[in-house]
Amino acid sequence: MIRSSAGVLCAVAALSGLLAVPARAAGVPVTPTDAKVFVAGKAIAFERLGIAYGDPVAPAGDAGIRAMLAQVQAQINWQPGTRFAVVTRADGVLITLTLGSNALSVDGRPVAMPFAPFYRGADLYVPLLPLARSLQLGVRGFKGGYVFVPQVLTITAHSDAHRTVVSMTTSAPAAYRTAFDPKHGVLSIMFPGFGTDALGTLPLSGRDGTDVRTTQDGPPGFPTTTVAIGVKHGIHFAAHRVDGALAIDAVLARSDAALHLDDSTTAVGHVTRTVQGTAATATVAPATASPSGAPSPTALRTQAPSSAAVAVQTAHPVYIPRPTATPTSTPAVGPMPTPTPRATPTPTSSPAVSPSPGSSPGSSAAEPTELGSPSPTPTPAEQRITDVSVTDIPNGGTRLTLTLTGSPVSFEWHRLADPDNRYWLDIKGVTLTGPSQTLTSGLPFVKEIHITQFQVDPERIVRVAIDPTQAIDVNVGPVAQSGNQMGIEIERTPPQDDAPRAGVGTIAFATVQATPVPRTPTQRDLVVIDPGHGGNDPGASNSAYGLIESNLTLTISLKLRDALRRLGWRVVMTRDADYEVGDPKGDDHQELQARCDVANAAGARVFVSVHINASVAHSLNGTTTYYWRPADKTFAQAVQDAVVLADGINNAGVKRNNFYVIKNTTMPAVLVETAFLSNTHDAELLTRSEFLDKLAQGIANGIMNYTGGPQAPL
Amino acid sequence: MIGPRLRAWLPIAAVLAAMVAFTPGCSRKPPPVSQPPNGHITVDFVDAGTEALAPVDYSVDPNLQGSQLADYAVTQLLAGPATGRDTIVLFPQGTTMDVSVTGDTATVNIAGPLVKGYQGGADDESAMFKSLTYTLTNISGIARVQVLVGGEKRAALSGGHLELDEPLTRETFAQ
Repeated sequence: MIRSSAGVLCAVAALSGLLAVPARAAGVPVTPTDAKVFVAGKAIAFERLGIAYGDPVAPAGDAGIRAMLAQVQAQINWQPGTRFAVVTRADGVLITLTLGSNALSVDGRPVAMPFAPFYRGADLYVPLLPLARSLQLGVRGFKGGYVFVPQVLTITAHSDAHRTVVSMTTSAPAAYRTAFDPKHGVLSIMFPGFGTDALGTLPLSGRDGTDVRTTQDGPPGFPTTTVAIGVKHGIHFAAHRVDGALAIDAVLARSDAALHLDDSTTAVGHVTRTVQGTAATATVAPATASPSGAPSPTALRTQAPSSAAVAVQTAHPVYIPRPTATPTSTPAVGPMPTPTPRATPTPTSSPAVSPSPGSSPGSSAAEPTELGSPSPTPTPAEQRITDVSVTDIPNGGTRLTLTLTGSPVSFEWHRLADPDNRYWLDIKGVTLTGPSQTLTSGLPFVKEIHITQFQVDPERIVRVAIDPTQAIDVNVGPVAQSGNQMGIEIERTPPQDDAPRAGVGTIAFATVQATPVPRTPTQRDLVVIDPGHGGNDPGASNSAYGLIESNLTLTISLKLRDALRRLGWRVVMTRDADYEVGDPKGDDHQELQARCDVANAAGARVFVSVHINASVAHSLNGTTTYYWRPADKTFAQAVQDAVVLADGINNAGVKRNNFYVIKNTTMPAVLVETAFLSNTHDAELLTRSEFLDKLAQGIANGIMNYTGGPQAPL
Repeated sequence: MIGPRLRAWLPIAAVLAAMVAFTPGCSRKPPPVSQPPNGHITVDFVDAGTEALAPVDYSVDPNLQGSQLADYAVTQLLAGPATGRDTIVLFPQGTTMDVSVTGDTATVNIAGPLVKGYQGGADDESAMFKSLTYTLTNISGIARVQVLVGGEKRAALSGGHLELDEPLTRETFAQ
């Protein structure tokens, strides 16, 4: 995600660069500059920093380049007189800059640059901004120079029967800190000096946690990204540094044993902390994790562990600077279950910058103002508000729902002190479709709500102004079950006296289907089995024979698992007992999507959902296999043929249908309705264990026939 | 569900929605919903198992249009045919539907037992929604059916199989 957005930036930069500046190998004018460069909060001293074509450049052999790379555990290899400079990133990826080439290579992939590296005298000058972007650093310009900010690149979650793992990856080794708020059951993992585009809330589908909220605060040049994980009561947790210190896994589980990563995860480093006891009562000593061998940036030293490390995170501080990525990139967030995330209160007189004493990267960069990147930056796509509606919410409040054409949108809010109490919310880069609105509320504590196109130039701003009769509380966030709605909830509960009066935030919508979990490369020896229904959803039943669909699907699936293992497959089950895969209190989107998430995250080669059919027409009987994508028909036919051969009952054929789990999984997927429990003949068979064996063996045979059997990992 | 105090708001929201729909520059006009030819509509019941259509014609007031016509069709669908009920799939007893038509999309809000959950087979579930989709798309101008369950867009019925968060069309059920 970051890579692609950086690619777009570079491509745009390259386009303008190519148009404006022909690539020249010699005679490039370089103007010396005293611009400051900060990387991960540290001021970098260059010997010969210059400006060429408006962008910063430095010789490949400059001590500043080496210091800049060292800040993110990367290094450069360049020999005088050669055409190449090779940078090795902390994750081992090679970046190659080539004399006269307008593209640098990242892991073999070309990424366009505004201009090519060039020789001047004996020095190979390289452009710094494309180099920083290829290091996956956020790039910001400020009055006096440039700030390169390491990023929390991805935040993903995966739940199985035993544990929930929240995985965070970073573009540089992170000296993260952890804190647990026992009152609210929130495990916070803080990344000082790290920014992120992955802002928002990711719902957790398993039984262990509620959601993952990612926020960013602090000054743009030295932000702190906080990943706050809602941990359910009684759940144990631990944080592990994995994968050479560029990834951190937070593991939530019901038992201590399940906290430890299994063999499939390479756990390098040490367990930062494992807290015993329930999530509601655990107490945590403040701890600072520092990767062994990782640099300890000077700015981090000021972030000494203290009681602040276990500060109760009742509010989620949100300071979101203008995203450095293009708005077309989709942050790895899902919709929030309810619009509770607060538009929160960063106490600041200047909403653009939130000073954070002790964490500024340097005196001259204490308040980097946002001048934008000196390289061409695409203008965020403009969004429109297409509809406004009002609904009740509990506690006597109301919710104003704005339907937007897209996201992200950033906003800024202010409220006046009692007794004035007026509140306004400016939504930026947004056009109101239609005229201004004045909504006359029937609420006893709100006189009017105005929605207007407050500003057109230089930026379009829609203002929502609320005129209350008393102090009110306002929450802003995405609306659940909606891909594109922003909710503004007005409640009569007055905020506390010392509550902030202004704040900023960003809302990014991402449907659950869009980015629930990243697709793992296909594991060629892995099958995911989904036993249909379970937990509070029994599926169909036949009381005369004592048959319950969710029990039968589990029994058949466990037999299928064993059969596949005997054939050399690895198997992941979406459930292996009688429970919901998603949040038991969640809607069905989470339940069925959670099953898809298991398969997509595991990188299954094939996915099989096992069901038992039923009909009001009791004469219907036999086996049916369903597919959705035309390409999966062959797989469905293979399974159908093999099951019918094994079970000997009616062949009801292969059908196409838009069943959720076969539509939203990303590998060949089928849903097998093995038999009709509403049919006397089939029901009688379903009471026999040997019949269930035949069904399982039949499905296994079908998988073998379709795939040709498990293959060794590549 | 919506309190009296909100009633004053809703017309404003409706006006806004209407303005949104007819803002200059937004040239897409909803296709007209025509009157039923000869005062008849066809309700497509669906046979269990085969999922074959079992069409039944009903006489209808030729003055009915749009949402009213769709509402009439859905009422007949829920009531079921007079004969042959043993082999067709009907929505569970107690199910009610509110239908509104905007553009080429009929939005059907399902209330009743399905809001709590569905405990039947996948074939029957598919047949129910196929009959709903075919019946509504028999009305000229309607091409898509967006299902709401208890007023909300849902991925599926609780205990169901079919994806419902995107509009259903005849193509959804094409083999």
